[in-house]
Parts: sequence; structure tokens; C-alpha cells
Amino acid sequence: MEGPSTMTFVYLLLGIAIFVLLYLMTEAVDRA
Amino acid sequence: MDSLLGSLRLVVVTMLICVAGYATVIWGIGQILTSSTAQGSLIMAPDGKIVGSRLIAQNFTEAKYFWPRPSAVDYNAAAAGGSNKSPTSTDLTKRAEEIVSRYGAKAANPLPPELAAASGAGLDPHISVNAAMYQAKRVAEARGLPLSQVETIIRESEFAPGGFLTPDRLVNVLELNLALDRLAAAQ
Amino acid sequence: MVTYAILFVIIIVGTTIALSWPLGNYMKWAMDPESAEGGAARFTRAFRWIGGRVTRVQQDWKRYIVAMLIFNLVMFIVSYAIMALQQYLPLNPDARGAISADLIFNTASSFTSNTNLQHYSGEVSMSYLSQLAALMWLQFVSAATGIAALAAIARGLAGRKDLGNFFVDVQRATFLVLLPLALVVAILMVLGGLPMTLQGAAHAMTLEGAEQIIARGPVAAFVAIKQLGTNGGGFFGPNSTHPFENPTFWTNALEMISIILIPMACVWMFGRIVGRTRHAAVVFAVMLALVLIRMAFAVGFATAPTEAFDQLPIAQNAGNLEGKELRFGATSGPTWAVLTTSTSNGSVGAMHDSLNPLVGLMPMIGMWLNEDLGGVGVGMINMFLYIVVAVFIAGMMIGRTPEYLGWRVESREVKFAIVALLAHGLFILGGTAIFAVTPWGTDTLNNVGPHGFSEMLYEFSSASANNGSGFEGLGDNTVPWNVSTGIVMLLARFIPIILPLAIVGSLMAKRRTAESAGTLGVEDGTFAGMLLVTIVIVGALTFFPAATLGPVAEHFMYMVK
Repeated sequence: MEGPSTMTFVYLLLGIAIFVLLYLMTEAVDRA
Repeated sequence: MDSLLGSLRLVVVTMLICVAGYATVIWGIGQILTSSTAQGSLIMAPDGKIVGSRLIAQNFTEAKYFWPRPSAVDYNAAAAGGSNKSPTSTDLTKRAEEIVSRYGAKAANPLPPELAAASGAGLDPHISVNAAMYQAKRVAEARGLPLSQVETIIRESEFAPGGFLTPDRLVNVLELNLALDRLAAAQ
Repeated sequence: MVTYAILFVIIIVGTTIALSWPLGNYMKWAMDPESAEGGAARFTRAFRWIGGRVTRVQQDWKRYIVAMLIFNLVMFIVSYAIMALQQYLPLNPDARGAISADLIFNTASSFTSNTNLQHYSGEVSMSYLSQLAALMWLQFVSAATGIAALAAIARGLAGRKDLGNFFVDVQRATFLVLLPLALVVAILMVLGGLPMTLQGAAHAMTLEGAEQIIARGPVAAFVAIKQLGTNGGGFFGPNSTHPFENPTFWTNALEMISIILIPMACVWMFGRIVGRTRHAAVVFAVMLALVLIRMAFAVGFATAPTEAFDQLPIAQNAGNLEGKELRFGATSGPTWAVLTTSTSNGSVGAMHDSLNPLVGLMPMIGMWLNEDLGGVGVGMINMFLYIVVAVFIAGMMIGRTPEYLGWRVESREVKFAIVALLAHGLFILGGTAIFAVTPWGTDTLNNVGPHGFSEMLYEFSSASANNGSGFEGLGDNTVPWNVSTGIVMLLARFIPIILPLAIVGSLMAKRRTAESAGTLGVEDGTFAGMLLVTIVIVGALTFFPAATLGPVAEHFMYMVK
């Protein structure tokens, strides 16, 4: 059976990155 | 951090209650109160084999059976779907032309619209009483039955899906065909 | 046909309005318990115990958002992991295999953001465990996130010291609101004939001797929370057109009620927490007006028969039946389409890709406006953004200080509101533009001409509005679609929650003024009109050109003789 590939981790990181981006936006709004 | 730990604790508790607990309760109620519909409203032949589901259309092409609505997935109940064609699409026209010739519909005797239009999931088990009557002559001839008898069977099976809120009456194609087969077996 | 449609709409919408009022009261009690004693307080203690130390903090707007982001990130990762490993995990009787990585990303983003956009077909790709523990689980907690955010905003506007605690709020919403309602609805669904089994597909031999594999599963439980939480993701691909998700006219009616019930109740809950029920009623009336107008157009345009059959000997007396199911009655499809896109639900009772062109425009408008009812919690939050803008414009027009519920609305707040509203437009129009001029979009269309454009426009509208419905002919299980809509769904979910919370934080830092004779009222017809006009202008100006390229063009090309 096929298992998780490299791309599986890449997209997981992409998701995490978006949440990090949202956190940074929150900080930016706080300083605005 | 506290937020991460709190999140994980919430994950565990919500999984236990909202997934495991909730699904089990509903499953239990289904098994106790409505076990036949809970399993999929399956219809069995006398020998115990599954013939189909009361809720799911199956294909009929022989003249002696009533034919259901068209299915964009060829009645595949493991991968249902609609055509998703725009109602202005020429693909729909081509498909309808083929259906019109199969039914032998003419301008003086137009085809009921649902017999040309595919259903949303491709598994619509019903047709209108009009559509059944439209096919009654063919079915009666193929089975050597008087037309009036076939029409009576249709009338006995018809129902209004929404009571007084739906003026059009429907029939379940599979149940209709099963009734005809039972009649034939009894004779 | 039209009389029955009107009767049906009155019954469904009227019943739900009647149910939403007491539910709104209950939600206020559940989400914002006043006394430190009594029933609700017992629950608060339990929730604090479950959540641990973090629940003892009273959070300001920023801490509340960070808590929400952390929890939602965990939601994303947990569901992602379950789907990525589904082939190794139990509860997989039909032996579903691996899901492609980009699809996992899209689905996890989709269900985390309460969108439930599905670039897959449930019965084809998902194991029962994935459906229950990843997707249905997210349907609970993502809906709870929205309700929690609204409660927090309402508390801020009511003048409290802080916004509460996200981890307590999300439990309140999950266990006290969503779970009891889901239990009731799921039991009714089971009684209505929906399957609820963990057995794999049934193998049938049809009367004509063909094999038919009939997929089934734990459908009743899934469908209940799918509708109640404005989730919308179906157990099966064709969603609520599938006879197992929606077997009868009555399950159809119950599902439609479930779609709009909590979004309506959220407006009352908001009104109760800020202590301005009259204002909530005015807002509710504006939302309802928008819903009913679109409903009228949808039903009206749906009576035109299938254009493709025009030259053939086919009776044309029942409207356009392509993509529709007979047991729901002729106009249920368009009615459902309007309700599901008034809210951010996105489930369907008919194939939207096969709706008459101007009928298909009505769901799009609902998603563009994104607040005529809107998603659970977030619908009212989006309306709050429009209120801020409307109040500001009104104040500027007559030279008075703009004010909302005693809080001065100044340029900082309005800037945040405008950014949030424009982000929606940017995602939709920008995304559609890129895909319309590249093979990313043009290679995936199911229909030619303006209808193909509509398919792409609809997809980005659905992602940005966190709706989840689609013109399902679009071949959207590709890497570009999965990645782009996945990103849009997450950004468009949280930006319009972060910015309103920031607005409330900003307002709370000011002194609250008492209302005087000079205050612009928010409880009268003038305000209602102002709000309606603001919504329509912002929505119309942004999206009207796109509408002409798609649905309107198709209507004039094909339907007008």
C-alpha cells in the first residue's frame, strides 16, 4: 500500500505556514 | 505551551464524545428502531440474495420492465453523480435525442421530461405516474397483460412524496417491477 | 408550480424563524452564562477542568485569536494525519486506499475552515474512519469555532472587560449547542430512513442480472451535523441529492430547516449578549429580505424548462429537471440552492451546474454577499463588518460622529472592515482571473462558453465564502485547484475573524458614550435601508462585471429568444 510521500509532508508544512502567516497578520494588525 | 496542551485535551474529549459517543448512540438507535433502513433499505429475493435497495435506482432496459430516469453514472451506486451539464448544453440534446428514439416519442405524444433529464445523483428511484402510464402500453404488450391491469398496478403503487405539498404523484420503479414479476410468478 | 414553491418556502422559513428565537435564547444561556452559579456555571467548571490551565485566562482580542489559531492548526494537523494514514487505520471496510497529498491538503483546509469544499467523492475515496474522525469531527469543532468568535465579539461590544476564553467557548458551542441539536436531528434522520451502518457496501444482483455495488455507511450521524453547523460536506459525492442522504420529502424539509436554523439563532444570540434585541431584529430583517429576494428570482427563473430539450418531443411543463430529484418537489432544488448559499452551508439538493443560468447566479450572489444569514457565527460577524462601514458612511454623510452601540467608529476600525471585505473580492476575482487565462482552469471545464467561466467563478466564490458548494462538473481535483482553493479557504476563513476581533479590541480601548438624541439609531428602518444599500453596493460593484461574463451572458445567449 502506498504510504505518505514527501509531498504529504510538503503540503502539511504549507498548511502550517498559512497559520503562521495568519498569526503574523494578527501581530501586524496589532501594531497598525 | 498551555494553549497547545489545552488544544490536545480538547481534541481527545471532542473525539470521544462527538465522534465515538455520538456515532455509537445514533448507530444503536438505528439498529434498534429502524434496522432495515439503517442497513440501506435493501430488498431481498426469496432466496435471501440482495436484489437492490428501495431507495436506489437500478438499470432496466428490457421492454417488460418500467424504465427509470436516465443516470449520468449508469446507476453506479458506488460512485454516484449527476451530469453537471448546463441546461443549455448540446451534450444534453444529443443524449435526449437517443432517449427520445428509444421511447419512440413523437410531437403528438411527447416524452415526460424526467425521462430525458438525469437525476442529481443518478440514482433517483422514482418516476412520475405520468411517466409510468407513458410506458404502460409497452410493458403490458411485452408481458401479455391487459393494459388496464398494468395501469391498476401503477395506481396501487403511486404516492405523493410530500402529502398535500406535492401535487405530483410518483411511483418507485423497482417496486413496480417487482410487483409485476410477482404477478407473473403467481400465474 | 409556483404556488407550491411559495407555500413550501413560507413553511420552511417560517418554521425555522419560529424555532430560531428560543434557540437564540438558549444559545445566549449556553455561550454567555451570566450567573456564577446555576446550571451553566457547572458546565464552565467542567470545561475549565477539561481544557486545563489555559482556560483560566480571560483573553483580550489578540489572545483570543491566537488561541483560536492554535486550536484550528491542531484541527488541521490531526485531520490531515488521519486522512494521510487512512489506509492503515481501522474502520475501512471497503478498503479505501491512499488519498493524494494535494487532496488531503485541500480537504483538511476545507473542513477546518467550515467550508467543506469537496474535490473528492466520499463514497469513492474516504474510509469510514476518515469520514467520522477527520471530517465529521471537524464539522463539530469548526462550527463551534465560528459560534465562539461571535460570542466573543458580542461580549466586546457589550462592554465587558475581556472577550472570555476561546477554549471554554468552543466547548460550550460544541457540547451545549451543536451536540444536542445534532443528536435530535440525527435521530430524526435515522427515523426518516437514512442509513446508519458500519458495514461495507452491499452487493446486489439486479432484476436484470447486473451487479450493483451499493455504498452506504454511518450517514445519518454525518448528515445531521453537516447541515446544522453550516458545514455542507456530504457523505456521498452528490450530497443531499443522494437518496441515502435525503430519502424523502420530509428529510428534505428537515435538512433545509437545519441549514438555516443556527445561523438565524446566532443573530438573536448576538442581540441578547449585547442587550439590543430590537437591533438584532432589524439586522435579521435585512438578512431575510436579501434571502427572500434571491429566492423569488431563483424560483421564477427555475420554471423555464431545459433549454437543451427545446426542439425535441419532450413535455416542457415541469421546469428544468436535469440534476434534480423528483421526491423533493419541482422547485426544491433552487430553494435549497438559495438557502445553502445564504448561509455558508454548501450542501446541495440539486446539481448547481445544471441549474438554469440566472438561477445559478442566485447562489453566487449569496456567496458574494456572505452575510445574508451567513455561516454559524461568522455570518453575523460579516454583517458586523458591513454595519461598521454603513454606520461610518452614514455618519460622514450627515456630518456626525459615526457610532455603533455607543462605540465611536473611526478610521482605524473602518480600514480593518474594508480590508476584510475587499479580501473576499480579491480572492474571488483574482483567483478566477488567473484560472480563466491559464490551463489550470480552462483544461478542467465541463461546459463550454460562459457556463465554463461560471464554473470557475463559482469555485473561487465558494472557497472564499467558505461555502463549499460547486458547479460540480468542474474537474477540480487537480493540484492547482486543490492548492489554490485550499489557501483561499483558510485565509478567507480567518482574516474576516481576525479583523473584526481587532475592530472590537480597538473599540473597547475607547470610552463608551451613552446614546443621546443625536445618535444615529440602529434600530429603525432608516438604518435597515442604509445597511441594505451598503451591502448591495459593495457587493454589486465588486462582482457585477464578473456576473455578466458568466451567468448573465449565458442567459442572454441561450435563454432569450
